[in-house]
Amino acid sequence: MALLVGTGVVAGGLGALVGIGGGIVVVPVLVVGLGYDIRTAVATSLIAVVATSAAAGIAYADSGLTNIRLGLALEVPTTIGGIAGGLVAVSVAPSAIAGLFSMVMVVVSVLMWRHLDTHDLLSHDANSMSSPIRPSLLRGTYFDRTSRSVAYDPQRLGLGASISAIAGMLSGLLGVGGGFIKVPAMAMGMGVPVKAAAATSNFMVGITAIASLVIYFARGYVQPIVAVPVSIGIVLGALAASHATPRLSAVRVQRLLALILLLVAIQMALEALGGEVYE
Amino acid sequence: MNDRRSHEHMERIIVKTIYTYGLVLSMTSMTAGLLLKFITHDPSSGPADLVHLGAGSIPDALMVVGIGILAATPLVNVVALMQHWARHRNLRMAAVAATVTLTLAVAVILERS
Repeated sequence: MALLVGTGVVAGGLGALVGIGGGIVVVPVLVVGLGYDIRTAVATSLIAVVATSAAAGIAYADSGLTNIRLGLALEVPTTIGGIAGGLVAVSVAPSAIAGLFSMVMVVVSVLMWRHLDTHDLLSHDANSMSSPIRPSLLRGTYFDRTSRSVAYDPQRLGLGASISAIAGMLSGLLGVGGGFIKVPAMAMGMGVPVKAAAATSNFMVGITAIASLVIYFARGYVQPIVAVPVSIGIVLGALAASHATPRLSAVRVQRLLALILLLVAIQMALEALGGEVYE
Repeated sequence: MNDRRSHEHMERIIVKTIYTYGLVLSMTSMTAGLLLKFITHDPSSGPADLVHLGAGSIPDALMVVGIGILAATPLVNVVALMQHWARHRNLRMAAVAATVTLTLAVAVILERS
């Protein structure tokens, strides 16, 4: 029981810090570490995703980091992708998908580590401050740790919607929140500051997880004795981490995200090689 | 501009309030169920079933209700935001929220069919 709660605390902390659901920690620990069935682990992970999103969302709402309008706009393709992913999952070999997924994640994590430095973020914010007066429907504003107002207009919505649909599809295929795709897509592709991207992704992953969770609930894969201690732990971890996020530098958050992406890649590669985990 | 800021402030209050109530209710129910399970040495550990709550033990029922409330919280957020935007004639965002709600409803219908 203590192991399950501890798993939740670690997953919730990491999930809240980088805007992912924490499923990338929950699934491998439950399957590899504690020997649970993959379906039970994925169902528990999806509940963990919702719990992380809700717990961190309370603190993010106060900070103004969450761009609610952008998040919901991107949720349209994400949820559609999620349902499509769930349907595809029954006909395509999951180990092949996991192998492809791991390669994509390695590329994205390297790009995140090398290209998004402090200068890029600061110059982006400065440009946003002097952008035209007429704000777009999806404009976001928040106060950074020096109480400076940061405003930005998300760019390339078509690109963001397309990547969100792919993120939703991968979420439906693999049972994770998909935030590890959405955050770099928003930060690198749409010009959203990385902390706002993480908070917005956190808001989105809770909604995305519901579509898949419905299926696991209906098919009896949700085990309360596993899901409840993990969820309680995840809330404790997420609350602690989300209060720390406004004090962290953007560089630290982005580097942490890059490391998490590498972990996801390794996890996916291992699962692709040992395909019995999925069967 | 100020009008937009007050609307965004209201959106944040809606989201925060629903998250807070959803989380407190679900965590209370789940924690109570888990503690009861320990205290009563309840051996059952069946899968969650929201439809047949009465068939299981009280600790299991409390935990399942907690999970159900937690899972419903993001959806309630979307519906509340849709209502807020519709009331304030922000029809584009209301339509976006309605589309997300409908898409989630499709997932439920697909699974049931």
